[in-house]
Amino acid sequence: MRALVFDVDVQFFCPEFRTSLSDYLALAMPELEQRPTSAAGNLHAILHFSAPVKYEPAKAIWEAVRRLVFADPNANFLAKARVVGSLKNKAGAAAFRVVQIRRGKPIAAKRIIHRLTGDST
Amino acid sequence: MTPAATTGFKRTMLQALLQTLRARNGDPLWDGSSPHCVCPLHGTGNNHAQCSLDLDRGVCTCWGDCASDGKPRRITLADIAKDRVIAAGSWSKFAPYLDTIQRTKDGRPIIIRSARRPVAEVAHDIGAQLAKTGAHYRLGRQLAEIRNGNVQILDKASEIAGAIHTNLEIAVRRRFGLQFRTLTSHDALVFSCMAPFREELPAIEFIAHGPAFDRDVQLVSPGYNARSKIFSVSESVEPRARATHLTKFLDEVSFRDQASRANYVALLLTGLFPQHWLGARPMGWIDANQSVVGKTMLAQCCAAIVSGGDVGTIRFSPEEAALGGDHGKKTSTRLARGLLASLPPGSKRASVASAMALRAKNSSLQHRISRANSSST
Repeated sequence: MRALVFDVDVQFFCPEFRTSLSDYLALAMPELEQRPTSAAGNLHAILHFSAPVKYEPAKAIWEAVRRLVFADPNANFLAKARVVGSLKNKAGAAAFRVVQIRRGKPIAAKRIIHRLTGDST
Repeated sequence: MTPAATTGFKRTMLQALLQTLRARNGDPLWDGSSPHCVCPLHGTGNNHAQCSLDLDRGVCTCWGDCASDGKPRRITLADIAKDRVIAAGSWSKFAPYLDTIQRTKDGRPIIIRSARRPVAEVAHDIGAQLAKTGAHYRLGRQLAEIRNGNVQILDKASEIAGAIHTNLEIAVRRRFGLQFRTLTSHDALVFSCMAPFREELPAIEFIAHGPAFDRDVQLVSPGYNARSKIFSVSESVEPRARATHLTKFLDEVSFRDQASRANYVALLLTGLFPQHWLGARPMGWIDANQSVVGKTMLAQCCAAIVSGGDVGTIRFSPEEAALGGDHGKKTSTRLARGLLASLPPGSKRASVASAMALRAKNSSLQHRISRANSSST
């Protein structure tokens, strides 16, 4: 797998945290690409690997990072990200053009594992 | 390993949260390098050193507003997320995200012991996990377990060890993985005597065997009531909007005046607030200007609220009543055993003394009552 997608849904968050969500993601995992997918502030956070990663370790990383970024608990591991520039149309909401507000930086799986699941003690 | 249980995860999340969230005055909670920060739960931002940080454990210890009785509060990642990040109705979805406790395949928590881990921290974790079962409480200084709807005190070391191992596993880390261990009875007793263990368990201050009201005059529901710390083992009681039966009952008795009637209602209500006079013995006197007007019946009704049924009575012959002082002493001694005193017809008086203190089913309560009795005799 070359990248992992995390669906971050602001409806689950306190109003105060919604406004600082992007800052939190940038601090928690600076390598994440951020693509807002709605006017409310929902976004797709994408983690790019510098080299392809096998399914099992990718799943372990996804499990850890989804907790870190408070991603939607119902999201699917194999979900795809919306393409930048595409229009998102949902019933009852105005069309929203997907943009990129923060560029991602590819990272080696080992580094993430070391950072998140590696026990320093 | 549970992702949120690792040092790296806790450190990363705590650092990011403390730098993202703001205090009430708009200042960041943490500058990114100091060993102290503003309290993430109640900090106004005026004191940047009210919390000490332990990034590896993902906790900050608040010595400010959160501290109570001189003890600091340990604020975990879950506390911060619940209070500042996740909306009120969504916490149940995210709670498993921040479960830092490893679990067995059947879902029981695993507590890790090691020579490098403070014993108080292990005791805290064991107490916290037992509290989460919803069946373990603190009754006085003892561990209590709910069995078949009744509160059972675990006063033997082997029982405490059994309760711990029934609900969780103790393990040590080895190179090949976790190695499960048994707690000795002595270890279990030591843990159960430690303050970090006891403080995690919800305290029961009173066990209600009948309908009981808390200090705000709210009828407590069956089970544990965290606000009033009352554990009710009685069946659910549906309060009625109008006191039809009570009015009908009171109308049967010819009270001297409305004040007497109100006093009797107060006497009845006393029985519904046993936790407020625990250890004391409230007493009421029912006087009448003639015999066989229902004094004993009124007294029995008071006792029935406490005991759920009729209680024994003490009868005195006119000769005994004539003894005066001895008679009073005998009455009070017997009342201590929870009996109604029915004085001879000539005296026209019935008492509802420690009928209120009847049916003290748990040993702690009985102990307190007997202690109060012994001090009064």
